[in-house]
Amino acid sequence: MTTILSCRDLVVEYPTADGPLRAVDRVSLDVERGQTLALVGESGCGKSTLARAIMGLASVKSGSIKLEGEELTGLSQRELRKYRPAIQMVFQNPYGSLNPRLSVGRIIEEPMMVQNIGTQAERRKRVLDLLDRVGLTSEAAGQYPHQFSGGQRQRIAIARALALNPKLIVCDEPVSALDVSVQAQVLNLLVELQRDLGVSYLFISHDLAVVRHIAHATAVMYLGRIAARSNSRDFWKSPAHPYVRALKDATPSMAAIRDGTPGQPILEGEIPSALNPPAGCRFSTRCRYVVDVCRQTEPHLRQVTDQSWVACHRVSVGANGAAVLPESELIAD
Amino acid sequence: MIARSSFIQRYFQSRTGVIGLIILTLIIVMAIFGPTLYPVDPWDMVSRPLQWPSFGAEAPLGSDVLGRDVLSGLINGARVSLIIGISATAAAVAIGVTVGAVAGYFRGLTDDALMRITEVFQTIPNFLFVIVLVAVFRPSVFTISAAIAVVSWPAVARLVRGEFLSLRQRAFVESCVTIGMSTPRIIFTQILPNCIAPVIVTSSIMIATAILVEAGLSFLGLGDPNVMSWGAMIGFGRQSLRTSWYLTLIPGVAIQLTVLSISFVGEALNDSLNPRL
Repeated sequence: MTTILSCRDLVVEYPTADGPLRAVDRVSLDVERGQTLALVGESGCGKSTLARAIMGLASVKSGSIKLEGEELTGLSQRELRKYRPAIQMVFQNPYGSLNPRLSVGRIIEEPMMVQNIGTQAERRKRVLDLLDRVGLTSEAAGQYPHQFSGGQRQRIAIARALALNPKLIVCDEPVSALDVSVQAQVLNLLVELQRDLGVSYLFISHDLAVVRHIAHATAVMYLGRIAARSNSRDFWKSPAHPYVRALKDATPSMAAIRDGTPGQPILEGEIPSALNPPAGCRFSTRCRYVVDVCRQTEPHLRQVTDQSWVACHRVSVGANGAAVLPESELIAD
Repeated sequence: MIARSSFIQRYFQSRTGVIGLIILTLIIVMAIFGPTLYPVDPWDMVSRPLQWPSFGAEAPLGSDVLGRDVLSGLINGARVSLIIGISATAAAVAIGVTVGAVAGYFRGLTDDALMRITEVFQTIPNFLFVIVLVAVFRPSVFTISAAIAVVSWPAVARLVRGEFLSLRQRAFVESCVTIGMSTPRIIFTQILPNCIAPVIVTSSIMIATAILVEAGLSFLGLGDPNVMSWGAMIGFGRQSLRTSWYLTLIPGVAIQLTVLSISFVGEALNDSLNPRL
């Protein structure tokens, strides 16, 4: 397995009136070839900023972003241009990501025009191929974005992202603006494209349920930092990190509704401001397992099972080799 | 353009838009072909002074205090008014769009610097500024157009800057960055076409304003002394306002009709280019 994208200790800051806001704080992650890394977190945790930094849309303060071993940080927009085809992006809102004045054919052809790929006839043919691939008819090429539904527009955006044969597609909440009934269709399309083309995804979402179906590996972000990550799908069945557990319990499940035990409110309060993050563990202000050490020392990401890493003082490895939280204290509480 | 035919349909739904377009077309036709079809020099004394309008006479719309033909002045004045209105607006739009686009796209220091300059121009009262400029550079059609352009561009710059600030944040623009599109290409092919509608609307109002400013200058005697313009005709008629009021009324109505028709067209364009509003 080879790594296609590798971020190390990435820091992204925004200037604000109250000083720099560190939206992404020393984040490291790897995306493997042909696989999907899901990045999960609440609104405002920095996951979209991370995506923008990877795409060169937000400037990186420190750390490195390597695309197949080539360093991307510190490059000018002009220098970045030759790496652009390898890494493309699908945006959250398909109502904003397509130029309303251009025909769909032109929207999909544009990346190839900009990168000087093929003759006009070849490009036009490829536009039709791409439309077919994302499940649209060739008539769509002559129409305009406003004539399509949200799901269809997202398919157009995916076709545009595919036009340059990218190795990695950064998907920034690609289905969260869509109807639930359409979400599954678009997700299935992404999975299908991965199977056929071997493209990798960095898939950003706030919805664990969406992620579970498509991710090979998952990383959870909280307030600019990675709280937990795992290459194993099993990890998410009984997550060890308190925040991940809270996220999982907040996801409505049919079983819980049927048993009459719909998720009790696990997570209280708002995500703290990144301008003034809590001392120690960033989750300590909302965590049910919090003890004194959590408020003083920041936990580092450490390996708890062979596939999983968590940043939490309270997680220990149980007798069966699984990561566990101290349940007894919770009952006493 | 999104579905061109529906734009035209929407335009013709507006009654005032159609009326404005008809009047404006007539004025344009008069300005283009009038001097050929009615070859009377507006400066020539063709009849007795202060002849009242009467059909069949040497001067159908009457003559002024020096016996000059009012109809000829009206026809030649249309040409001057439209040339100044259109060229001043074209220059103002060119400057304003460039400044606004650069400020709105690059933001930061560039934006601050350009907007401070723009504000300097905006704080000076327009008409006074035009008078000063025209007085300094001898009055001619060119200097008058240039002076009007100099005072008019800040409005366009602010408008375009605002559009750019909002459009630049849109995902389709960022998506063009991620495919490696160059900045000038993004500005010209992606953002500008999306903010052209309000610019067209503003331009139509600016043409009307420019015509009024030129009329005001000519009335004050600061117009181009070599061309007959509507404002100058009003100025000439001023002395005999009580006895021969038609000398003021006729060019006054011409200015009114032109400005009104352009405003109508501008408003109808606004409604048809922004159907969602």
